[in-house]
Amino acid sequence: MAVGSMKDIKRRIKSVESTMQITKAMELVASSKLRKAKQRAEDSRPFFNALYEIMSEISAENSDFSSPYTKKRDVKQSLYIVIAGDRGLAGGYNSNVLRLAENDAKGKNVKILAIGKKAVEFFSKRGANILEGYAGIAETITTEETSVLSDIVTKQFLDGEVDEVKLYFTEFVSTLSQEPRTLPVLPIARFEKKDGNHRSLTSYDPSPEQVYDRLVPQYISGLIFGAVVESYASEQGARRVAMESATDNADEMIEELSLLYNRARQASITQEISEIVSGAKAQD
Amino acid sequence: MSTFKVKVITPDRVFYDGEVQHIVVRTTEGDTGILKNHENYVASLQVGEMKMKIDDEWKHAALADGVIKVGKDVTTILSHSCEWADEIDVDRAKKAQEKARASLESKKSDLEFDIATLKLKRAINRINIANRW
Repeated sequence: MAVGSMKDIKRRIKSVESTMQITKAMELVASSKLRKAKQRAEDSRPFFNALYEIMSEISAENSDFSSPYTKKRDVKQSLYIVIAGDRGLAGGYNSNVLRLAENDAKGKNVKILAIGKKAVEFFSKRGANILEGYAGIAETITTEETSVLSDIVTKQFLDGEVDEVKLYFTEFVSTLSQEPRTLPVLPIARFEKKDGNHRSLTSYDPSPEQVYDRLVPQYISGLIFGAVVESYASEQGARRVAMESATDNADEMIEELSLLYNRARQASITQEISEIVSGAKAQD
Repeated sequence: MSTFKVKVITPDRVFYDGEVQHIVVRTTEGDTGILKNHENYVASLQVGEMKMKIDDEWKHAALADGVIKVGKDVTTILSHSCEWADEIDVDRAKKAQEKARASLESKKSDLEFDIATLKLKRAINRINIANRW
């Protein structure tokens, strides 16, 4: 019997070890992808900061200015852009952001623009009104792709199909912590005027409104790009942490099982010795 | 010739950050030249060529759509992509052109059509500028 249980334990150790190898490898892959994703997020920041600055200057300098993008309407139909991952095994990363969007959508007319396989699956399973769904674009997303998304979103808004647009993504707070966040996209909130009596000394070609209105799609494309890159970094961070703790757990389990194995081994040796000794005694 | 500070920024990098004597960009209203002490100015850019005079020498670059803002201290150009003429990979641009053209002809969804149009415009712009300079 002791021999049998020893075999069982050995087999379990082996299976835990092979699982640990997988989680360890996934951890390493996630940390290298995380490094790249963080770099991408940082590289794109100067561009979007500058873009945001120009937009806020135009609307701050021109008090008489009006744009269809800033006009508030009664919200009858919303559009949520929801960004989640393409794969699971990333702790609560996917479910946190999807829950947040689902709770907000309760009792409202909401169209969904889903980015990431998990987001597409989640909302189609619940029979939500999916406007578009994109899977597998997060890792290599380009501003060309996001500018197309931005065109869809702005068109929906300008045509009166939707009255507000919100973005759901996961903010990368640190390697250890990622927060699901929501951000209003359209209508764009008017920026505060910096000082009271500021007259515009800038000339706009052809006009502030037209420059502004041409900038908005780029700005939204930038928001989406930033949110996707940030969410992707969060996904990798979450996966790294999840896989790290899985590896630690496997390590612990192996330790416990090794202890059991050694105990079983000792017991079987002790038994053998006592059998030999009693056998020898019987011969005397 | 006196110089002024210019920054050209794309989403993936800071393309140029330095002193320039003269700069010409293609706005939605046509080509516009900027010299030192230009008034404050903001305009949208379309896919086209950008010329910069640095150390008495003109340099040419392919610029995608974006925006230019001339401020008191610094002129900022934001664009989705920007490449020097000698940096352009013509083979790649030609392949992109063919691919874009093929997907335009295959009449897919509006979305793919839009992407293809944009890609085609950018590819043609790249090829033109690379060939000219």
